[in-house]
Amino acid sequence: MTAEHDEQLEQALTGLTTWHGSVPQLWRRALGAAKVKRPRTSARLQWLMRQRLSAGVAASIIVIALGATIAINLPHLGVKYDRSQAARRRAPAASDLRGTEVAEEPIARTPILAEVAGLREGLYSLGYVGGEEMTAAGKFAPTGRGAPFPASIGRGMSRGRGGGPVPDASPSAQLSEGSIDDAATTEPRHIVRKATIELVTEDVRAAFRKAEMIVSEAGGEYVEDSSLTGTAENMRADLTLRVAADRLSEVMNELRDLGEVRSEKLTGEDVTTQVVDLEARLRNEQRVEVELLELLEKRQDAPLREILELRGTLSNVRGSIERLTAQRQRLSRLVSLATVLVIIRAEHAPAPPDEPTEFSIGTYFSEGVHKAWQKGLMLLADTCGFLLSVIVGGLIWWILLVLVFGAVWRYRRRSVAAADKP
Amino acid sequence: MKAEQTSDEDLLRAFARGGKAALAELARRYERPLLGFANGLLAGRNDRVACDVVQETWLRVIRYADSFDGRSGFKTWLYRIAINQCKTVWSARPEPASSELLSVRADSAAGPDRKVQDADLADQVRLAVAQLPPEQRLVVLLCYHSGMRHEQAAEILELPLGTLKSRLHAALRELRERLSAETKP
Repeated sequence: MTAEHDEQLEQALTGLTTWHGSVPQLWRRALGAAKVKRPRTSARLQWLMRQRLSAGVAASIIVIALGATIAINLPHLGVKYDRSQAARRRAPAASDLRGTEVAEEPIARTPILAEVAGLREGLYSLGYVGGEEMTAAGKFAPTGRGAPFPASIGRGMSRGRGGGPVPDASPSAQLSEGSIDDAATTEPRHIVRKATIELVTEDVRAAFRKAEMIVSEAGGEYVEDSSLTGTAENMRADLTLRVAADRLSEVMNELRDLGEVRSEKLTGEDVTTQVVDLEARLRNEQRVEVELLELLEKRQDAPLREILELRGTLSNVRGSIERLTAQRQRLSRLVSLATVLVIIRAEHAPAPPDEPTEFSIGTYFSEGVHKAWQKGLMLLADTCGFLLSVIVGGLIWWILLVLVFGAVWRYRRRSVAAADKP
Repeated sequence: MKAEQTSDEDLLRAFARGGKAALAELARRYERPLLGFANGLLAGRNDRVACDVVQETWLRVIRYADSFDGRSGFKTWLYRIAINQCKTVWSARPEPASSELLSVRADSAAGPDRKVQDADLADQVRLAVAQLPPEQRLVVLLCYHSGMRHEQAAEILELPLGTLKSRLHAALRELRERLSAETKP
């Protein structure tokens, strides 16, 4: 073909894609169709779509922050929930207690069990507890009925069924409160005394024998623990003596005569409130026991089920009495017999290793390095623990995060594809 | 700034913000070329099919104006949409017969001798182009479309420039062979 033909061909090809007619304004029809088919997106959405990348990054940061926060706080949330639940269990309202009583035991409306219920309420208001218990240290612990009560019991708080301190204005509670407080102020103090004495003597064995002899077995005193270890200069005697509390100062004087006193320590723990508290509870329990027995005696013709219920309650009360009695006896022993720990060493025994008295820059430096190393290891362990807890504890959030990232990535890819090939 | 001086991309953004006049300006610039290009690609079919394709193209422009990110030019984007719509028509409707291809232009071929001669050549070329494989047909029509540079055509077809040129060369050779074969007695 010639150049002319080529030109003709090019013109023909150009003519193939040339529109010769009038332009029918198709964009207007399309605009009308678009309004019918799809409402225009809002300006906010348009901005978001234009800023897909930044929006995705922002959303990811929010999700990460949220996930991390939840992962970190998740264990604490559980603790808070447990605490709130425990508090709710510990402190039911008096009306709740009665409601529970009726709901759980509809039979309680019958005369004999109603009286049992009344006795129970009396027990609760007087401090009878079951389930969780606040220990003297102020901690709540699941205990049986009749566990030791805190001193706060007698100061304006009675106990709910769950064992929690409940503000109670009932006359019985006020009576109980007043009686315990009065008793605590009028009772003689109950002190648990403990003493420690360290002696140095030339003859450790002889001093050890003499210390054992100080105890007056006739007066109920005894040697709780004794040991004699080592030889010659390394000989050491350890004794734990239980002596009458009123004889403590006399015993200490006798011990001082056994050698040269290196150190001496005397402590006393006031358990008066505990003793008074225990005795008040014991009296209450005994009173309830008597009333239950009387009730059982009077209502022998009651249905078997009610009698069995009554016996069960009586059994619980007796168990409580036994526990309270044992606790009172233990406290009494602690109060009546003081504990004396005696340590006897040989006179020329090598001194126990003490802190270095002379300052040395080398020692100071090595100790500093040692402490820093230990702190570093602890920090590393803490960090590992934290990371592990975040990774394992927040596993579900990590999975969600991956899914969100995947969805965002797919959405973005589709959007790009749609932009190119709508 | 006058609308005539505004770039296509700015007009599209203006339309995305709600300016209908911007779309009117874009249509003024591209509706006629688009109709011609679609008509050429859909040779042998009724002009209404090309109108449908162009209307659908505008509809997509309107719908996806928000998501246009400017990574390619507006013209590239617009022609890609149009080509996709034409491909949809190709796949939905069978190719017309050769006689239909000739008869389409029969009315407009009437006139003086020169026009008749040109019309005859145009019909032959139309027939020859229609017999090309789709890829070559697309390359030829796009490259000889009014005002289209080879670089733009390569971008629209997502082909390297060298590939486009080699395909165009092959397509033209094929066309010449077919045309010379038809002119031989």
